[in-house]
Amino acid sequence: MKALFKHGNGRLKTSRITFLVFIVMLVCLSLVYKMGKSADKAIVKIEHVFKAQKKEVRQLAETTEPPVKYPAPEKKAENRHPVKKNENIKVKKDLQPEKKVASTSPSGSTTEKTVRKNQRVKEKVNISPEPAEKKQIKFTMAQDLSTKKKDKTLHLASKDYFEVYKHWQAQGETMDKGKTLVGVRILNLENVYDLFQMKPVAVKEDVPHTDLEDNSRVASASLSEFSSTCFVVTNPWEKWEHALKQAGFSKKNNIAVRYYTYDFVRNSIYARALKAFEWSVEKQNLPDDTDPSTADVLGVVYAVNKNGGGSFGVFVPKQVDFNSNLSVKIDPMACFKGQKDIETLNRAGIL
Amino acid sequence: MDFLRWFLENFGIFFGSVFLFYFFLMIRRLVVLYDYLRDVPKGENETVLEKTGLNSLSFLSSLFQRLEKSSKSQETYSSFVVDAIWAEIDCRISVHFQAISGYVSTLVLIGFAGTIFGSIGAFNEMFQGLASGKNAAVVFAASWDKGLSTALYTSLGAAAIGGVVLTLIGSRFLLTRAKRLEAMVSLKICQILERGAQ
Repeated sequence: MKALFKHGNGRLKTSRITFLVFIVMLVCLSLVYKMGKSADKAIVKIEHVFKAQKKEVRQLAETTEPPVKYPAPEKKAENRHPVKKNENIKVKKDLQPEKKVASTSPSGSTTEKTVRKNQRVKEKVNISPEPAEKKQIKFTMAQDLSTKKKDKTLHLASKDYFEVYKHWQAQGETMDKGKTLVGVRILNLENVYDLFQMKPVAVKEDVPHTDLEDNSRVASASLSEFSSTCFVVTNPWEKWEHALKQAGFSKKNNIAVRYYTYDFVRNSIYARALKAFEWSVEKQNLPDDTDPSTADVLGVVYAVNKNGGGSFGVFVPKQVDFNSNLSVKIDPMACFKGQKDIETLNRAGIL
Repeated sequence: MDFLRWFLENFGIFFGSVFLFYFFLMIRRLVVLYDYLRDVPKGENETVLEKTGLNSLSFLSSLFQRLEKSSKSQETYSSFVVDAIWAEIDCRISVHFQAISGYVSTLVLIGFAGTIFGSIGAFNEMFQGLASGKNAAVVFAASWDKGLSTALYTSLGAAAIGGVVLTLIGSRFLLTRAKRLEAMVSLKICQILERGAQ
């Protein structure tokens, strides 16, 4: 050690020591710098832990409850954000929730159940009787949805997780904001809305009233940070009965439930829905100027979890329904070719 | 690495690099001074008279031998050797004090230049932003990135490093020991000349 830093005559090797001191000082300054930043990181990690625990409970609920539900999007009827006519989003209040039908359906063979489910899907998407070929498409889709229900969660290592997350978020950045929007329906939104940072709000007489996550009163001004587009639950008393009762509402009240969402999430969802619409137009050789408002996109949300905590949702369109009774099943790998989040879900065998 | 990235981002690539380089040079001079002065007593109770044989004067041993030889033969030549000894001390010790003082002065000037340079960039960004109708927060953030951080951090860095180094130079660790070293050399010369006279 002495020979490393001292000459034979006892003098110090000043260049070496200078380098050493310089490096040590930089390391010390780096440590001080990191200590100054560590508090923020710790807070973020704690939040992740809480979120992850909450979502695990939700995932469990998702696998045990009857699954398919249909919140339909519409423009928010809030004074601060008047409805824009060019964003034609459908509300299908006549649709019956899957939960109710499933509980009253008689027992029978698996095939019979699947066929009945198929028929229910047709009812929900408001489609008139179709030729046999189309029925087959519907049948396959319904079967897919039921069998893959338990596999809507993907677990990724940190690096892959962030890559997929960035890709999913980038969807909305490239969306043409002035474009007419297609209608969007999300099957399992009530189970995964928190993966989209959505806020479920009970709306009384068209005025936002109660936050259904904590029963706190919602001031309209507090929702101004959210998008002017929100998703509406079709049968709020079926899907949010417990929360609505806890909030003091009764069925006599004119109550609606909306999921308020941030613009970047809304844009990501609609970008993907529009892509699915364009793909189905091209696939069916429909005119290029087909109005997106004459169709709606049915999709599912998949949860992507990071090992160690953290998760988000990815919206994957499954089917596009046109007003002309035409339904097109979406092939995600063909429609969203090159999109990393879709490819990752597919590789994991989830799609 | 995070710290270095932060340092170069906020000081600017040019001023950040210059600061680091001067920082390195100052450390080098301080290490050299430490090498020469580490054996010199710094305590007020310690007397230099008892320490004249220490390693601290070893770098002058050849000159002391020369002085001893001169003092025994021709007393008149001894004054030249004594001058050589003080010149050597200047070369080995005093020059480093002057160099460090010079670095501090230069660093203050560099800090001042960084402030002016950064301010020009920041004002330029501000004027452009305001002229194009951007909101205040965006303009301020852009100004910070385009020079305001350099302007403020270079001033702060120069003041901090300059202050610390000047304090260190004037401390008992360096200046007192340097003066003591001179005292020890004087005493050593005196001893040698006395021995030569006998």
